Amino acid sequence: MPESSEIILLLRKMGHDMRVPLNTLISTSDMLVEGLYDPLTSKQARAAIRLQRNSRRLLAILDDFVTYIKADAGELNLTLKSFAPRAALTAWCGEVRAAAEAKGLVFQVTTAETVPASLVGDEAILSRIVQALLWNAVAYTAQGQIGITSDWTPGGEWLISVQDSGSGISDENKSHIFEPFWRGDERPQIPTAGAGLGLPLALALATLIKGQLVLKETSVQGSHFCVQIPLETAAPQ
Amino acid sequence: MQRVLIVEDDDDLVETYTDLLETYHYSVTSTAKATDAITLVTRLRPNVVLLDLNLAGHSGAVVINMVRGYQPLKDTKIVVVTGHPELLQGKADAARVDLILSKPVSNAQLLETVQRFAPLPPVDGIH
Repeated sequence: MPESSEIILLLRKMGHDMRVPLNTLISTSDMLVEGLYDPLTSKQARAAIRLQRNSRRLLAILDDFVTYIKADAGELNLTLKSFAPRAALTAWCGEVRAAAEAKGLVFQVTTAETVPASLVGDEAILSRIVQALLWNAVAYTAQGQIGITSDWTPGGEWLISVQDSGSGISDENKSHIFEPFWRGDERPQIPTAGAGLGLPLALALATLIKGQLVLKETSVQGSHFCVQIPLETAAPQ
Repeated sequence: MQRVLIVEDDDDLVETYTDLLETYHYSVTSTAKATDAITLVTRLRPNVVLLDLNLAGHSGAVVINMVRGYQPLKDTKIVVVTGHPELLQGKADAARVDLILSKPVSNAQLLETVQRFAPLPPVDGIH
């Protein structure tokens, strides 16, 4: 049995090797959709779009997987830059908000006045943490609302809370929700096409950037996740 | 015409299965929800139900319970198409379905399965 570090290396190599055939799939399906070969019938065009969409889904799953492995091993390189948290949060919510509203949920984003105008952090990592929490909320909320609030703590941490009005998480399942690939008996309300890495990935990334992610509260009225991340403030851009 | 009901919550996979089966002249209906499948299976009386278990909302297992518990549907073939076949291993539901296929299922495998349970009449002129 290889050592865990060897397994990580093998998985990373496998991830790299998978990108090559995926690249061909994505590029070829793009060209099919764009009509670079020959004009397609409407049925052929729909099939080409399915190829395009699913090759990208596969890439997203692979990206999550590789990012999780690297983050868990503490080997993910950070890219620190200044950003405007209010605008960034709105942008990160875009796709999830559309999915939430499409299923009739109210989606609210609130940023407290105390949040600095400019922070320094790795936007790519921060956005993946926030989006993982939001997609989880959308998947398990049949009706009602999803709210995301951002605040600033006296200790210099960005505090982001995601609250939903889903059916909550049972005591039995609470201890498993951050385990990779774990699927509980609570069924999502919308199809979840992923590798079961949403919350574990968010936790691994939060830990990597010295933050804390916790399930603060859950009941039949909904769940409340909080992530608290120490960040430097920057001069407004 | 032979009828197939697809119970699957991945829209792209539904469209793929549908394209394949319609090409071979099956009448195909689909739903993403187990609760709707129960209504459809009673109304349409499909020859074959292609059933995913890991559906959003209710599990596909409720469809197995309903079909197998209702005498007029005793001839309905249930083919579970799942990415997690291990979830059925050793469970009572495994013995109540006609076949379990593990995703990804090739076109040839899917077609052969459907043709086995719902054979198409021979086409005139082809012997």
